[in-house]
Amino acid sequence: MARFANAKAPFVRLSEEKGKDTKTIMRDFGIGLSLVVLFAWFKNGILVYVNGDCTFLEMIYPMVFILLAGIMAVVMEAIYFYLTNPEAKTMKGLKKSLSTSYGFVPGVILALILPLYTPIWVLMFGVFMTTIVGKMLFGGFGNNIFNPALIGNIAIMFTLYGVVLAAGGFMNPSEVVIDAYAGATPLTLFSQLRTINYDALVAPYGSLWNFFFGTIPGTIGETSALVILIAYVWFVIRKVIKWFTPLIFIGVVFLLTWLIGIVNGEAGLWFPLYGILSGGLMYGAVFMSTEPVTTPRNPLGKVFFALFLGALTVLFRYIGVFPEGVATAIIVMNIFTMPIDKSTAMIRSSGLNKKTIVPFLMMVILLIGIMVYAVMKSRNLYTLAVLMIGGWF
Amino acid sequence: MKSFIQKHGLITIFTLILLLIFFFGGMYSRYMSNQISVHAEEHCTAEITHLDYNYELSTFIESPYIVEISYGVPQVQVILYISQSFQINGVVSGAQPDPEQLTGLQLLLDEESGKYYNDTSFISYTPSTHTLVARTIGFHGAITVTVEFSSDFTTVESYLVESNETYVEESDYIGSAVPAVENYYMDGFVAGNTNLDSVAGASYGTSPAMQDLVDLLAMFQAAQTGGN
Repeated sequence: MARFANAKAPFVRLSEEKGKDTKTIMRDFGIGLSLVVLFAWFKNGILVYVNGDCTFLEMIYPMVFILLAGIMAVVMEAIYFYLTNPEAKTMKGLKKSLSTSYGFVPGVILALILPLYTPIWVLMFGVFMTTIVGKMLFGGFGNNIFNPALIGNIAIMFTLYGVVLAAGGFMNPSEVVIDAYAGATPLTLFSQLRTINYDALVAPYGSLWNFFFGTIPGTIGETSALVILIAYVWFVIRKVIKWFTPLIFIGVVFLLTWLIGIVNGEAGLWFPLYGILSGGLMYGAVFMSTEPVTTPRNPLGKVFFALFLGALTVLFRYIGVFPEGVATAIIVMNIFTMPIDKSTAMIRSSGLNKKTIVPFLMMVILLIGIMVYAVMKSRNLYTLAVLMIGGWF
Repeated sequence: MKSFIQKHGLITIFTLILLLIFFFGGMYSRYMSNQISVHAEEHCTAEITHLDYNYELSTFIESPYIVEISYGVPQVQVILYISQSFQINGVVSGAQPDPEQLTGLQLLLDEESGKYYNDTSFISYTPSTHTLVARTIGFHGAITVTVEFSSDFTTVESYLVESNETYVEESDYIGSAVPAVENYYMDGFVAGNTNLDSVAGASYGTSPAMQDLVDLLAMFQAAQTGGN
């Protein structure tokens, strides 16, 4: 049933369901996130220890790494509150500020999208960029326009990527052993080879089942599609996220990757599956593209947002310097959250008319343009088309 | 002090926490990075400790070499049969490496194969006549020698040399026509003398190749007669 407010602005939207306040949502989100944390520890620590490939200190390191990121985020927030908020000069006031800021979560999310061997000082820099720059300087919880963890991630990847790789990179101790005569992460392999060949892209890691279960090299928490899917189902049941945003995002990447495969002479379904199961797509789609603060709020806006995310991810994977495109796509789309939200809200309320048709068509044309360009770029068809058009004139 | 703690206690504690994480966490991550090379060494460090020709009559044609490799922590030794192109053909003795280790050992052999001069090799062996065919690479390509041994391998019954050499192109050779140089070495081998002076003018390609060949034949003969 629709509800209307008849008081003076500003309006504060109350939850329509009992127990659906921010605290409950963050608790449910934390449960989903903890599944990924546990898997990250299992895959990069426990399993490696069981295989006899690491010591006890190495076994507990992934969990220590993740917890340290969360703790550092909370401590940095505490210092920020202490320095900027007079009420937070006492322990009681500080506790109150911290309890509604959920500083631990972005720290953990950041840790999960970093390679295992990221040095702690680099992690500290990332947490600073996440918590202070990405979140607190924008006004704190609920006011940031970019996904804070991605700000930290991109800051590290653009400035200290070489340091991270030199320290050890993406492999866990078991994978380091294999990597001595195998390859890097699946997407790194693809960016190096630029070939669509099952034996080159999938076979070095076993089969696509390994991609699904997550026993492939990657960042600490992004590799298991299975665990992320379980978290996704949990979020949908608990109504923490809208079910269609991740599906559209992943669906677009699947279709475009399939199309790219076909254009390049490989029509097998393994390639689009490889595309959606490698890198941070699943993790980004479920944990980041659904973030309520930095993404559109109305459903049509979410649909457009997810469509653009899919198209940009594929585009960045094909033309970008870095193998992965999910983080950059989400950050780019965070910039456009407000205009998308505004224009799609107008379309929803008044339908397609003179006023709304222009932004609507602009979005559609831009979207199709990115998709077509990504597919053409995959086989240098873009250069060919430019030459052909140049030839006509 | 008391007033300082009351006034700045919280921020001091938070700063200390960050500093502690920075130092101890940094040491921890440094330890982790160092462990990578430890694990890589444990699994992949392998060293060829000995490489030799294989003189077993039943296997030496397919696997003309045997190689002794030590690898892993604690160190394990294994002796492998390898082909002319340094592909692993089987285990002679030692612990059977698992598939992952075999891949690593093959990689090592691929890397190391270029370091070993292996132009001189056995081609075939006929047990019924005790006839061995061996080959080396001279100035003008392959020099093939067919040697018929006595049944107990103590003497050479006959030999035949096939060669494309001319000597004259090598430098200033003065002597008999082809295959004089090859026969000179083979005659020396038949007489039991393999430590021969190189032939003047034919020492650019033919002489060293033939010296290698007679050395190989001598080692083969010695192995069959219970020598080496």
